[in-house]
Amino acid sequence: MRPSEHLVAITLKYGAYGSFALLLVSVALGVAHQVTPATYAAKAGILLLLATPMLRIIAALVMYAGQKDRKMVLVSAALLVIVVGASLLGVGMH
Amino acid sequence: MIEEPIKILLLAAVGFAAGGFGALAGVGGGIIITPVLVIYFGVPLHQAIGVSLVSVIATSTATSSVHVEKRVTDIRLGMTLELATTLGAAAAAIVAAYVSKRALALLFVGFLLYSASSLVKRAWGARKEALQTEIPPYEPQNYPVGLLASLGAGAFSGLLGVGGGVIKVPVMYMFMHVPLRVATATSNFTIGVTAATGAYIYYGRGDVNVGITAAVVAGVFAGSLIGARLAPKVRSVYVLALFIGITVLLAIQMLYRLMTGVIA
Repeated sequence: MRPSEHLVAITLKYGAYGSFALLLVSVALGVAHQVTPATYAAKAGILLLLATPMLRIIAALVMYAGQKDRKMVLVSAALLVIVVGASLLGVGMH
Repeated sequence: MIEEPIKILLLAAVGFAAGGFGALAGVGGGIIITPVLVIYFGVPLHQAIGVSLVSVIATSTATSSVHVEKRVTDIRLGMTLELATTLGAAAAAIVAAYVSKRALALLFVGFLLYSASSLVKRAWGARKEALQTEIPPYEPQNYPVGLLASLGAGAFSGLLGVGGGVIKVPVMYMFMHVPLRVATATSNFTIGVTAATGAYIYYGRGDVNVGITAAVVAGVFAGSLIGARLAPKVRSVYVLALFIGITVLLAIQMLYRLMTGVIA
């Protein structure tokens, strides 16, 4: 595998495992009736999971810029605009 | 916001079953989460869809990292199609707030039945088919058809909280001439970004209940990781048959609740 493609894979992997760990902590704390720390862990896990796809697009953008693949740099950048736009819309509603 | 201990464990068990079945059968388990939460846990429909969207991101993220490393995923094709899926998902997620619960539930029943029929076809085809290990050389064709189908799949994702793989995989396979294994891995890769786009809007609107989502998604992660390990040892046609049975049963129960006015 090209090292640059590895960047997309590790972004997904760390995002998934990091979020899984936080959610497990939240479940354990919730079962132990520790409501406040459980809520923090749950929120952190969910937000990391929501951020991972966006980070994966940035990783791909870096990867294609390194390969000087102009078409895919444009595709990644346009995708980032749509996804960031949707997240800003979400933040605006919050 | 955090549920009672027994409810947390039950919700995690639902996620575990959905993630495990999904990984074993090679389908997104997300489709069974929404009806189970609505029917058995009394979760409002829009919130159940929010939980399902986050679950879809979890399965996609966990399994895509493996497929990308094994180079089964066509990242270029996936990201190009994502331009359409994300637009569809964002628009539908906004619209979903204004669609009546009854209409959404009815659409969901239709989608459950469509998924079941498409899985029946797949199970029938998988009876004798040998596992495709080598990926033949290919060049994706018919991008306009693929992008249009992706727009529709994205809209279904934003509206119903599903991944939309049941639409994208057949289109990539039949119209874009992409090998089935690549189409499945690529669809799985794209549903993470698609579901996230919809989920940002659901989260902002307050339709992602943190306590319920955390418990279900923790279960989904565990289920899909274990399911993916067990998958090569289990005959997928049996798992598919069981999954089809569950899907049809949930569709009937949801329809019954619609007719008796429980979902109003």
